[in-house]
Amino acid sequence: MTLSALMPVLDRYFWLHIAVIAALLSLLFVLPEYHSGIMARVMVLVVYALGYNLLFGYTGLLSLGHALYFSAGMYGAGLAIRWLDWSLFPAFFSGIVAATLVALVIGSLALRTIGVAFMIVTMMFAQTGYLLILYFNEYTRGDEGFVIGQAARLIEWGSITVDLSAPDNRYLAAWLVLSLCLLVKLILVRSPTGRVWIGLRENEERARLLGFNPYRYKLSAFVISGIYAGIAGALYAILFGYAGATFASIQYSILPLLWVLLGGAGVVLGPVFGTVVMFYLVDYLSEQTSAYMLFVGVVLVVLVLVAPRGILGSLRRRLLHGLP
Amino acid sequence: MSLLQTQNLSCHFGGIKAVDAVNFTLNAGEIRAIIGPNGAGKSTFVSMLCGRQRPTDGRILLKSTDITDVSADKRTALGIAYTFQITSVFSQLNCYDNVELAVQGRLMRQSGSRMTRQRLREETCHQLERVGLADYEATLATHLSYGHQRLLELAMGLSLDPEILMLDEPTQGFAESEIDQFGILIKQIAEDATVLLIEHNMNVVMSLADSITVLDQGRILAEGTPQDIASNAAVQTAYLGTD
Ligand SMILES: Nc1ncnc2c1ncn2[C@@H]1O[C@H](COP(=O)(O)OP(=O)(O)OP(=O)(O)O)[C@@H](O)[C@H]1O
Ligand SMILES: [Mg+2]
Repeated sequence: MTLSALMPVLDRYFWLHIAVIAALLSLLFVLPEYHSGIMARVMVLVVYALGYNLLFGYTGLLSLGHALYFSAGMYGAGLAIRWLDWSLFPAFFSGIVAATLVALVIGSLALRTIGVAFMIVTMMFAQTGYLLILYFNEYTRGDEGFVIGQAARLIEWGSITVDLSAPDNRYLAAWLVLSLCLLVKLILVRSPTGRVWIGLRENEERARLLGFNPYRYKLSAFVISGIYAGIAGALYAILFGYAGATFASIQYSILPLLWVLLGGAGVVLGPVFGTVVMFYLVDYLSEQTSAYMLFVGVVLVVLVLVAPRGILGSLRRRLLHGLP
Repeated sequence: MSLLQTQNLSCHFGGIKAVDAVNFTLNAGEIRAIIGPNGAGKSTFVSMLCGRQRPTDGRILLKSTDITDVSADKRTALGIAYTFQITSVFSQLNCYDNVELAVQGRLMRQSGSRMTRQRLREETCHQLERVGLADYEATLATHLSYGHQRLLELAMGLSLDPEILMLDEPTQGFAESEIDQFGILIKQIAEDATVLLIEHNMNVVMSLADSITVLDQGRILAEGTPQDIASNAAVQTAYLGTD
């Protein structure tokens, strides 16, 4: 593979992604502070969902344990700050490295199974991670979690200091990471490797008989998806100054699946829309009624009936043919 | 020269001896046909050669190297390509993407560092043209007619540029004209590859094959030139189903 194979294809869909990125940036200037606060949080979670989509939407592997890699990122960064006094960038990278290693180990084990067994195995490992966080309560403060002080959330560069706990900076940091992750994903799914992932999703035996080793390609998808989760987790800890065991619970393994399904599995931009819609849906309904989860469920069922391929998946079928 | 060889190759499904202790030799450069009644074990036999199906017993040798335990994807890399009897394409991808993946696999193996987008595009288009599917580039495989799906299957096999091409009933669903086209294509491929052809259409077999192996109930019933086989009494019996 030459470097040129990694250059993005500059077609209209590339520019569509750039337009979405630009639109997200412009929201900072038009949204009231309450909503830009929500969007900063949503954008971090979108990064998580983007990675989940690589594994689920593109490679066709349904993991029920991605909270493990999200929390590996979160605690990899958070614990380094809390106990080792690491500064922001080293802590951020230690979160990513932690998630990468955990995903590599768990992925190489879990990918020996397929189908329902794979779902169960990934879920069991994630539950183990969750219980470990609770067990090492002394360091992690378990369910209650711990706060990451403002001092560790500063980028210092010579005389310039950027405070990532300030709302606008937080928004910009989340936006920047999301933009990079989105573009990398776009390049990945159109790369030779991405095509093999899709091939495995569509017909594994066929792909194998074209000479591709399914295990190797699935593992690469699994690890990259884990890295995305780790980036999101570490970023969350740093931007919102908190790490807690809730983020390692089963709920956070199911959420990315819902976001991806809602937005469109196997569409690069799907999770962006899925996460935003779902987040605002929950936000709006929870103000109206205490039984909001019931209504969220109803809305999801209706959406699945009306648009079984998710928002962008359905749009791709009707209008945006060939949307990556 | 023997290119591929099996020793006592067997595959039993419970009590069914689909393939039973077959000793078989494929010579380099030939077009070999495998014929036999339905359920004779032809697909199972060839599936073991390409690695899709694990043998329950016996060995497979490729140029005297034992490849019995080599995975299917590695065998593809060693130059063995297989096209499925029951069409197995990427049904939700278009023709272009189907063939591109096959071409990509080969280019990545052959010249890992020189696979440019342009080269990939050129070769994919060439392979589509070769089987006459150039006009269907953007059509989803699932929307193709059965015959065209078979052609797509063939294009994917050819794209691998294999040393041994194994075709499992490739002409099923072809129109008369497509069968003639197919014959020409196979002769062309056989100039630098070895072809193993499972085929029911006896006209195709007789006009293409250098030699024929007849399987019946998991065993080799007869082997020889098309003339030998045509006049073999045991083969007649097996096909007519009388004793
Ligand atoms: N996966 C399987 N499980 C159980 N039995 C099988 C399996 N695959 C094949 N068989 C049996 O093995 C025998 C040989 O089947 P095979 O498909 O190899 O025959 P064939 O010669 O290719 O027949 P056809 O001409 O119909 O394609 C048949 O009796 C079939 O029912
Ligand atoms: Mg068969």
